[in-house]
Amino acid sequence: MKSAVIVFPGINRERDMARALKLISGCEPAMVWHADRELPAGTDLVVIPGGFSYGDYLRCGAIAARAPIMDAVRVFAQKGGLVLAVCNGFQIACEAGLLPGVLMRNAQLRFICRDVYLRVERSDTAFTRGYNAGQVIRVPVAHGEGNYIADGETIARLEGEGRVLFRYASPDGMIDPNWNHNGALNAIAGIVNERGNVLGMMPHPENHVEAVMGCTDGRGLFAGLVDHFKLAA
Amino acid sequence: MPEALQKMKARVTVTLKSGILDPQGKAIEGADRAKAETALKNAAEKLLANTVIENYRIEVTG
Repeated sequence: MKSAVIVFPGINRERDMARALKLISGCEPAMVWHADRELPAGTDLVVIPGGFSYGDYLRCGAIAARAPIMDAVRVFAQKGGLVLAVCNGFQIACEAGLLPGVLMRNAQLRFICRDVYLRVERSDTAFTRGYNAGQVIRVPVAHGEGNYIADGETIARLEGEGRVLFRYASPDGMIDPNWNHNGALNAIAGIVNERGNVLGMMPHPENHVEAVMGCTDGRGLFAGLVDHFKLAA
Repeated sequence: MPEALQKMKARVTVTLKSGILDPQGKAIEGADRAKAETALKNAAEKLLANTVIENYRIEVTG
């Protein structure tokens, strides 16, 4: 699996992401600078990592979404290439029009940095084939703007088409406002686009991939992607 | 400052008196207002506002 991690000024999770990708796929990802205009030839997976691109000025992800490399990412996604957008990456993907909706300020107005529980809604996607549907995983979040919203019609489509892949849940998988830390609509933590090849999620699976991290629940996402490409080859 | 005023916001506009040379003002005198409005609308749509959640209003003030 050949991955490309996009690097914007102010991003700070690109190395965690690169480490997780190398660890699980065995292949060193290419680090691609925001001012570049092309992705490396043969890229299987594009990752937009987390951080604070451009200092979150204007709106989270707004400036990064207009960076030169994003035209190449758009073309890659239009051709069906897989894009994983985590945290600030999710915000960037929404601003870039790759995903619908927007990540608003957390409902309780505070930055949240903690582990959360996610319910995996389905296992028949390239991103979630490493999990079982209904499985609960523990993954960290670190964001001030993770409160997903979209208009009613968009939410109805996301739900109707099974495009919500992760929801904030209790440790036993119940959807409960007390476990929906940022107030996201329908406890949405991660969604895919219409075609299912672009995943945006606020939590950081790349930070729970080794025993030394205290949890390896994030591995399934990367291991599933590796399987996906093995099967496709 | 009296406590009652601490939470207020105000705008104070300072302008040059007439007859005082304003080189920056001179430079923009010839600007095309319609063109400016088109450029501003474009900037607002493309970047300044996220029209999923935000409206915008353009005022050309000078």
